[in-house]
Amino acid sequence: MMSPITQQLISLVKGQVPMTNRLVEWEYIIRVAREVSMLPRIAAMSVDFSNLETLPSYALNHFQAAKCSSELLKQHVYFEAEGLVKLINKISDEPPIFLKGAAYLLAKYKVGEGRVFSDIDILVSKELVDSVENKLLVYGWIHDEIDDYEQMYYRKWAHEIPPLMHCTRGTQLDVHHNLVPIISGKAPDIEFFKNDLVSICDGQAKTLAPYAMVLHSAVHLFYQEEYHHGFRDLSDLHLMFSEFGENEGFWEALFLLAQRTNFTAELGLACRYTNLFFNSSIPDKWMLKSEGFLPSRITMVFFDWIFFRILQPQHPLCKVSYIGLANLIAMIRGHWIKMPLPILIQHVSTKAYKAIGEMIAGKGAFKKNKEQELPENLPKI
Amino acid sequence: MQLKELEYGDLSEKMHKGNIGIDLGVASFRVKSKLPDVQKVFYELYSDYSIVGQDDPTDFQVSIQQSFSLRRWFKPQISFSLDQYTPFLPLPRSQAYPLLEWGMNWCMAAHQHNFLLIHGAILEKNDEAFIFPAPPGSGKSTLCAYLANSGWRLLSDEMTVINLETGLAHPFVRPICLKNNSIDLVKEWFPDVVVSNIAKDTSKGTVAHVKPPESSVLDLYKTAKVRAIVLPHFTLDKKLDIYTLNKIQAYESLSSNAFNEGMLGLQGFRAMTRLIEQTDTVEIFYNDLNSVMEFLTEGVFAQ
Repeated sequence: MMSPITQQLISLVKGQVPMTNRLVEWEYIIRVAREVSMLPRIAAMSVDFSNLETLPSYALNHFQAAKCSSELLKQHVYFEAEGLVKLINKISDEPPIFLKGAAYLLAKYKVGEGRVFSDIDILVSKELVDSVENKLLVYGWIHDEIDDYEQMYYRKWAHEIPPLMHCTRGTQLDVHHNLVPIISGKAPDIEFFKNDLVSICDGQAKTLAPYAMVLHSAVHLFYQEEYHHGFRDLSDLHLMFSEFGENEGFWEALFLLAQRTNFTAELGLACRYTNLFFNSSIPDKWMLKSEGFLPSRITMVFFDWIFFRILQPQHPLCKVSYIGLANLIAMIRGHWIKMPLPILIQHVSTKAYKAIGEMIAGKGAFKKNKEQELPENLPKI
Repeated sequence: MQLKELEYGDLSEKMHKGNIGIDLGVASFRVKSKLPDVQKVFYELYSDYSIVGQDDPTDFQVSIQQSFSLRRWFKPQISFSLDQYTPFLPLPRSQAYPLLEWGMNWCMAAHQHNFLLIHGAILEKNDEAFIFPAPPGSGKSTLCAYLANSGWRLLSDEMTVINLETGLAHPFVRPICLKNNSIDLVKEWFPDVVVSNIAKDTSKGTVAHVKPPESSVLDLYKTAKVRAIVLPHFTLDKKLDIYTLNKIQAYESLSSNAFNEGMLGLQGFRAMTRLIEQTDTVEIFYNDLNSVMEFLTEGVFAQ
């Protein structure tokens, strides 16, 4: 059973005013939306409401404020993208490819409206990674301090270099050379994803073709260990299916890419859960085909048990039963599919060692700077 | 219904469960804490405020809780949350109440973008409001406590709230946060005011909160027209020196104290420049609060 709040949020994502009996239900909707980073998204979708009067002013005020923050994020991303593109185009003829949240915004897709994200992701060729990194380091981008273990993890096993941050603006940047960790053994031949790239930023940069964007989003969602934003990511997929589904050849290209890159299971799960949650408009023919991609029936009973829980907004108000257990299993699964067993054991024990230390000494005990920390871009009071 | 109409036992039980909502005009807060000292101070300082009805929504749901770690047995810490989100690292147990107040301010600055928010006190006398924007340490809160207890209406000690359409100031009346020496001074000047326990060694030094006058709390929904912006600098060897600022200087000083001007984009800039254009701005260096008060009520602004 989905909680009433989840159902109300689903209506809002679809641009419909949900049924409410008491005004306080709007407080619950806003709280859950805020917690799962969906408030700006449902605020953005609310411009489609034909009947704004049905929205109480309480909700409108919160939507209006949330729109301010997503508008600022948008401007910020446009500004950063311009600078990054200039820098990278200096060292290569190959324009950078923007991924995920930043790409949704820069390509002006509906899924980008009110999409909250904390870092900009770009994809460059493996051969270019070192020179791009060096260039960025010269131009004010710095690496956060990380320990030797993490350094090794990124350099040897990951699909990206350690995260970068701009030294004055604080913008976070991830430079990728593949879409999933190399150590998983499942990293695809990235060239398949680079077909039919779409021009953005006045032709100075690229983003993945809509079908590749959708597959990347699905892979990202079902390769995670942590599903705090699972509901938002699933709603990304729903919005992309709605926006791109009518495009000529979209479904053919999506399914072909999934087969070529061995991500059919992820595509199958994406179709299944967007359909279950959002009743997304996936044509029958393709829905049927996607069902053939799903794991065995027994595995699916198990998967449904987990994903039906963790893809709901995670907030105590949503009262999802056994959510803690489902999250734990999802975390183990997320690690499992990304790392071979001996490496996984080493990885988990290193992380556990730190976690135990924090439990004893209190949060933040391992931070070098023990001053109070405020999130980025927020005023100190 | 005012908070003081509740028995303390009722409030304690409601705060324990997070069932008490308090109306602060431009925003309402649901406050949760199991800590008896926080409950007690909250009951004292917010007694004149209205309670939000059971079926009415609140804007921010805040809590102060003891952090969970083994450390709680030898060096307990507390943390502030907005609903499920914890924006700051934990602080020592003794700073629980100030952290609640600062956390509530943070909620506004981080989320309430329907208004222009400026870091500064705002008080009104004879239907004219004065904004005192200032960084910590300038004497703003002491001046604010002095005026608020000398017949001025307190709109806010910490956060000036400007309507984006009308340019009028909305009250956001809250307890006044006094630091260090000013705590004893205010107690000496106004022996009847209610002052919370002091918390030592906070990031702002020793702090205590002063209960706002009831009349100001009752006027929570009455907006005010801003007459002037006054930049206070408490200066030991100056009785009262006054300098007029031009519009550019005024904009710079006000803008550097704004919480969300950038967040509001063009709207924020327009609200800010309109405020500057419609008011006068002065910078004052003083050691005598009464002279400041006389200047504001009987000086150039009175004409």
